[in-house]
Amino acid sequence: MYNIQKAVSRLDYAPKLKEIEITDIKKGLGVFVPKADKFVSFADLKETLKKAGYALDSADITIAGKLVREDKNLLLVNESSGQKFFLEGKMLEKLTAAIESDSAIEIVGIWKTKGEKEAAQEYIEPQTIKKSDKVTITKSVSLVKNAVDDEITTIRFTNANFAKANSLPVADEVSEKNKTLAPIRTTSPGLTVFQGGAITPRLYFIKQSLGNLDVYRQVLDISVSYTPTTKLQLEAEIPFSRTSFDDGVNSGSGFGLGNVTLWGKYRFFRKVKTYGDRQAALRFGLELPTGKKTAPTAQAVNAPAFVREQLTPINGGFSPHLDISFSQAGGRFIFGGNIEGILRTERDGFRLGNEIRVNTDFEYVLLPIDYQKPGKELFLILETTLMTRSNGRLGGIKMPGSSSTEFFLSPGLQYAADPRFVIEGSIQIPVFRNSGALALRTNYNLLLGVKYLF
Amino acid sequence: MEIDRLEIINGTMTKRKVILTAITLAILLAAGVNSFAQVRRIQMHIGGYLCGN
Repeated sequence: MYNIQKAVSRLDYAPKLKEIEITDIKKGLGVFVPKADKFVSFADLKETLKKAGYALDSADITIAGKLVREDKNLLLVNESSGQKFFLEGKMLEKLTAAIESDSAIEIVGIWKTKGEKEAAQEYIEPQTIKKSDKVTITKSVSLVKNAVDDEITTIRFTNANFAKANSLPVADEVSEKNKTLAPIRTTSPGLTVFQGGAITPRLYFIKQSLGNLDVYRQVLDISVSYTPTTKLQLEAEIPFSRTSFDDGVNSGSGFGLGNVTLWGKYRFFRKVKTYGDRQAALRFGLELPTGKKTAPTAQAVNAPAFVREQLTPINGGFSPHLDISFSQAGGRFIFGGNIEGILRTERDGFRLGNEIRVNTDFEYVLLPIDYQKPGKELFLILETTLMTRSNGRLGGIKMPGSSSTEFFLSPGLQYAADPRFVIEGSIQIPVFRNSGALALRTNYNLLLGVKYLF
Repeated sequence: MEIDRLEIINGTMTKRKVILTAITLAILLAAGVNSFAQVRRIQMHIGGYLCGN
């Protein structure tokens, strides 16, 4: 929703971002009151939504002004901006039969732009026309919100407070909707916010083990993304990791920066329909050798060198990632998945094996059961991860017994506290593990995070 | 003398009040006329999953 608000708010005639509202997700309805003294353009509205990844199927406009007959045309002149609106449609003659020229009227109609650039003209196909003899004493946007019209029988909304969906011409039914979300562990093909982005700090609490060795990791992963174009998203991911270990005799801990990863995501497919979409994206990442590489010594922990190397915040050196993702949303259900491949290079002779991850994501809008306005939604999420990794290397030598194949289930919750703020949590539990004698095994992986859109 | 001064002061106050009232009315009227002619609302029918990214 924030993506739509931000896109519309870029228009010259748009009000403040918070005054642009989604009123019915099922029907795809959003409303706003434009600035009174600005020219409005259906084509510009359509274009800005297209850039944000949405399609403007149609728009209804409610406008008050003077009816003017110019040649054979009927026009409505907006006296605030001086903009002319041409009236057209089969019903026009009937609707305007009893209205004299220069009459003050108010129209609700289907809005279009015909022509391009300087030749562009705004057209309205009226659905209802009423005479407005009385001057409503109001002040532009804020006034309209609180204005009470005397003749509410012809105009189907009375309080112009567009927050109430049941007062809108189309959104009569009780509706449901949801909002800003993305999978937690699965890559989303979405681009978050066009010419905006997200800051996503996440805390991971991970327990791993191998024989008597218990390893606890606390990772703070900060991700910042930005979407400069309609199809491309850029992202930087910076991890900080604290690792503590206990082998029954010795224990210790370390803290350091992990490998910073730079991502570029290209969304190559997107299809939208009312209350649903499908999209797919290709993501390329470069993991840079920035992380702390000092491993505990053999005196500090009784474990083979390859296992001790796994106690650092890094899995190797410079590593390209390639990821393809897909998602489909419809109604309260969202399904998605991604396949990611990681090619690792050695850093000081160490690296884990190359890796393939297959994630699936299933989401359901659990709460509220029935609601009118976006906000305070709770998403129930179930993700799966199949990870398979080949043998790693140490000192330039392949390490047999360091490969691993694991399958995890990750139930999670996401709470949209605000159109710009999401809280999320997910616990990853192993269902199947087939790991070599030198590979740490994950016992659990708890994720707690927030997301702030800008 | 004192009474004359008071009358002058009262007269000045009354004039000020009249002018202020006239200005206020003019502003209100102008605002009313201005707000009468305007696009009051735009409703978009948007294709897509409106909560999605």
